[in-house]
Amino acid sequence: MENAVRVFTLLPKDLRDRLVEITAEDKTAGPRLEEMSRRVLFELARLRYEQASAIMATSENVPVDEEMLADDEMVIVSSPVV
Amino acid sequence: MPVDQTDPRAKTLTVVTDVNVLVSAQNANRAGRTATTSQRIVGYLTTGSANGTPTQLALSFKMIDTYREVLKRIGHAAAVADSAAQALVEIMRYGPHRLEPYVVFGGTPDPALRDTEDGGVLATAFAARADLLITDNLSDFATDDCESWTTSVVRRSDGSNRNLSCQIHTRPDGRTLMVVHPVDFVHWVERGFEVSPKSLRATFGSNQPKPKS
Repeated sequence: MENAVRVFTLLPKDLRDRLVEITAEDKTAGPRLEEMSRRVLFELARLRYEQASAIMATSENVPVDEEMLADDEMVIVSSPVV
Repeated sequence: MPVDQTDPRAKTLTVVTDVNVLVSAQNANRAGRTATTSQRIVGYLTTGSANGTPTQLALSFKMIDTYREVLKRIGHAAAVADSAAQALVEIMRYGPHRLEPYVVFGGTPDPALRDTEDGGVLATAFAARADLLITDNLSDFATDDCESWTTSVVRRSDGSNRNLSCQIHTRPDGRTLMVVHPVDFVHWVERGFEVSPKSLRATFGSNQPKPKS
């Protein structure tokens, strides 16, 4: 129950609102609940990815690849899209 | 099958990203950065939204395995590398199109591609009916029959400049795949530029064609 509440509170507000709205409706809400379930599972996967990333960010024995970082920080100096 | 434009999923951008982008984001996290190009792209894909446009990640088993193995090779603990890789599988699985990782049996859908690993990435993009392939290695995907144009100029930290380009590959069934550089993709998303073949042709089509080699 504690986990369920924790997950619920971590969901985006619009998703929480829609879940509450749907649970108040009749059984025709099936497909919408299925979509809500998908979004909840997606959020859980995202959290799991972010947790793993946070651990890797503090891995003391992993050096930063400076060349890769430089490529990652290239900036656009000319583009027709402004 | 024609795309149903009334289906909200039809507006979803299905994206295959080069494994280098995923690894680069972890490298930037490790360096304490918060908004590099790769970090923004991973953010778009793991939150399911690129400036309001729904996104769907698509990868093959081979690409996920490569990601996991690279993380381990550079020194990350096996358990956390496995966890990150498994989370990406679930992000695919619970995305708008509910995709499973693709099995790619070697070879390449386009014999013009010299590198079979690139061929596998392209095969994954075609299998996923992806809209977009994000890669730094643009020249590796340039084939004789794709459309290709210069898009922008970027500056490296050493002060040197580099021209970027994009490609549009059209399959026999008429579906298209855009191949774009990570920096361009982020630039376009953050400026609300529509990432579609139509807008790429309209915006860059008059630019000098990018040489294929």
